[in-house]
Amino acid sequence: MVDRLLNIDRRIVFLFVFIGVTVATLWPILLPIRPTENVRKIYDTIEGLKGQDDAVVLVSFDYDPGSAPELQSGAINILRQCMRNDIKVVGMALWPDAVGLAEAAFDSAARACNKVYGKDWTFLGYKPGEASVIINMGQSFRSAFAQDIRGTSTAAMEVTRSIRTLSDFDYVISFAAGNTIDRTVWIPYAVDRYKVKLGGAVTAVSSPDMFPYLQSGQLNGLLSGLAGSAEYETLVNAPGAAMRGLVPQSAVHVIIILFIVLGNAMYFVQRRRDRTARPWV
Amino acid sequence: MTTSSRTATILFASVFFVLSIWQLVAGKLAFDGPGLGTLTAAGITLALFSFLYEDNPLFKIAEHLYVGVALGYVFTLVWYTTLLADLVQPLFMNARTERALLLVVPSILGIMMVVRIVPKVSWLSRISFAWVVGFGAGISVTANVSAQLLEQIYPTLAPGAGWEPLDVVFLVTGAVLILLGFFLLHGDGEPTVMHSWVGPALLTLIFAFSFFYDSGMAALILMGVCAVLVYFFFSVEHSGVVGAVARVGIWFLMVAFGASFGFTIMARISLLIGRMRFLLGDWLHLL
Repeated sequence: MVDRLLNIDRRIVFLFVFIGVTVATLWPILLPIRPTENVRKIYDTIEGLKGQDDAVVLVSFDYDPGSAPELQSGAINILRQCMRNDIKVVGMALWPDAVGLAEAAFDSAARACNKVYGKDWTFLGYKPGEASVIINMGQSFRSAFAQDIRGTSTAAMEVTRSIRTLSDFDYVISFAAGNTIDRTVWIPYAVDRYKVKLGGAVTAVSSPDMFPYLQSGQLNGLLSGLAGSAEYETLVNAPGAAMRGLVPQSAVHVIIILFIVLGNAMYFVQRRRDRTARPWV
Repeated sequence: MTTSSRTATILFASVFFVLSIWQLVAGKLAFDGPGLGTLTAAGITLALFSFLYEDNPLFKIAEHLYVGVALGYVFTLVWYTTLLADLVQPLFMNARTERALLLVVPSILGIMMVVRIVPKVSWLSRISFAWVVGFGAGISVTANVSAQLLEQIYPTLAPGAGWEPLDVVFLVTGAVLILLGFFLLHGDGEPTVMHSWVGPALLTLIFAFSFFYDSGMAALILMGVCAVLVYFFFSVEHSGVVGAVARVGIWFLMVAFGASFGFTIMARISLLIGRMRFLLGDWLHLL
């Protein structure tokens, strides 16, 4: 029995996880969600820009559809919050796979808030080069993005008319599935060189890497994965996919904790059996 | 094909076909563009999930399909948004400007990089790679030294950057405890308490206290940074006081690995939840 429990077929664990996700998705028990300080900082920063006529926020979409369950909800809610507060939004993408997701997010938010393309928001599209793009934007925004994804000149659009360099943006938020925030792009170049205020939204797997930057102040706030997006939905009072997704998330966490406890318990039982069988060891 | 592989193929294919036919017959999915799209996505999702049971041909088909489609999508996007808009049009289609001529040299370097696949002229790619590596190293060294190193050192050490009186108390207490642990020997010279559960339990208590009291974190971080750095310093034998401090570093590393593991699980489960919501909602209309 102990041997079988110590060597559980991993497919049994998969089955339990599948059952946990399915049951919790079909019959959810909504649990309270308390926004954490790191999420609240992003919300408060955007709220602080309310009332400023020339406030412009840059939102960078640096993720792919594989990370959409964790980040897309947060992106839509942040766009809606900006647009609801009459803050202009400029979008860009450093990952090619993010273009479709960014366009979907802007379409959803702009329709919900009745915002006009070119006047209240625009999407610049994808540019390869990552750090090169940021350095280019830091020196001259127009030379990096002469036109947006629809071919409209950035010099002609009201939303980007006042932007000369990257530093002219009041706030930059990067939704990142990789290393664009901490290693390759935003913190080393945008924050360190051009002193932009940066907020981050990352997948949960990257979250531990971001905490040193929160402590040092290089990162203004952080949304961590699905939980961060759910907390943001709570702040903007817009229950959505992220809050609904936290229910199965919690259920699976409980299942995994139980398996870990079981595995450790069996380990100690096995160790005691070994000591009893071979007391000279 | 092994028996398990055949089982996985038959099982997942059967589930897909039975449930899809049910949805089509019940009228919840139509045989039009969006409906076929949903069915295709559901089928490929299940094919990929079939790997959890056993590697099988269904999974291999889906895997290769994913790589091909992703590559095709990215190539198309890069062509229209970058190569055509920023290279071909300025050089060959629009009125040529001096600025456009600046694109010639980088274009040649880019082509030289691609000719690596031709053995006779593959040496040309070394010039392009040298340029890329040199530029990358030059541009990133200063940026990363500043952002990753110097900007991190200051808040860790400087009392003015968020240190509180309780941080000093924790630091002194931690130093005293490490020395105590060193002096409680086991006879063979090794500090036995550092290898028991006492240290991690004490660390947990200190962390819990500072977490709920909302103070003292800066000292914990400094202790952790120094202890982990000592652990990774292998030029000195890890015995005595150095060994005790290195042991503390191991505890911090274990906590960090545990946190990283937990966050990774959370991320992967989030992706599963996204797919399950699609299968249960968009495909089976159960939500």
